[in-house]
Amino acid sequence: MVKSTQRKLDHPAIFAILVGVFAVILAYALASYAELGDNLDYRGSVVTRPAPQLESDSRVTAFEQQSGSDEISAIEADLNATVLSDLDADASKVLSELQGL
Amino acid sequence: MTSRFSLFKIAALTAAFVAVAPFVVGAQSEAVGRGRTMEGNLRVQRAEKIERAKAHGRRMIRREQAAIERLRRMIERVESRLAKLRAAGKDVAALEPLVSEAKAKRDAAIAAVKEASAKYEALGTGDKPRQIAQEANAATKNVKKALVELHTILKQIITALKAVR
Repeated sequence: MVKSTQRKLDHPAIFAILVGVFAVILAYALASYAELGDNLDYRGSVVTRPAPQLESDSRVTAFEQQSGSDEISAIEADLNATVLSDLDADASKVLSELQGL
Repeated sequence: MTSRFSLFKIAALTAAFVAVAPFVVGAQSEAVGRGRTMEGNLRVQRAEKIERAKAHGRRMIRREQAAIERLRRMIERVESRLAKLRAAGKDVAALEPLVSEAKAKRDAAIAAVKEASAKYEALGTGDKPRQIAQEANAATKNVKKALVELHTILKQIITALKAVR
């Protein structure tokens, strides 16, 4: 039995086994890469979701409501109702969104 | 004996190699895939952050444009009132410089809001969006500053107009 094994596992047989092993590994590697699918093509297929639509802005509506009268009292009333303090209130939100970029 | 032992070692090593190697290769492939997926996700996240930042910027621009329009119409109403007073024989010459100053502030605000809008829209084009955003925010603050000054001038005009009556 031992002699028989020694006879069968000569150098060409070992070489053939090793070639077979590498063939199996190569086939497995190719199959693994094939399974990655679209991930290998990510550079070309990035889809950006659209930004959410802006909601109705009450501040804009408030600015748009104004008398057309040129009476001084009417102009003064509209002037006093004009609030400008929060015009740049979202500036910090812009920067915080871009944190780390 | 030695030859048999060598053959046994070769066979054992080959068997171990066959058993382990596919897992190693597979793990590497998956790691590559995960890496590419993460890279893709980062790009998507970056684009989404920029879009959200743009949305905040656009909201501010819309408000500022509405404020500019409101104050622009007030200047027109003041000019209309001045014309009526002038036609009635009142002396309103002292108010002309104030009206000119108000118009200059209005024009400054319009220029600044255009600059801010262009910069917010350009957020995604450069490598340093945060730096562009800071410049855009600076322009936004200039708009506010000009509008607040315009508001103050209009108040002065109203006070003066009350005295004329």
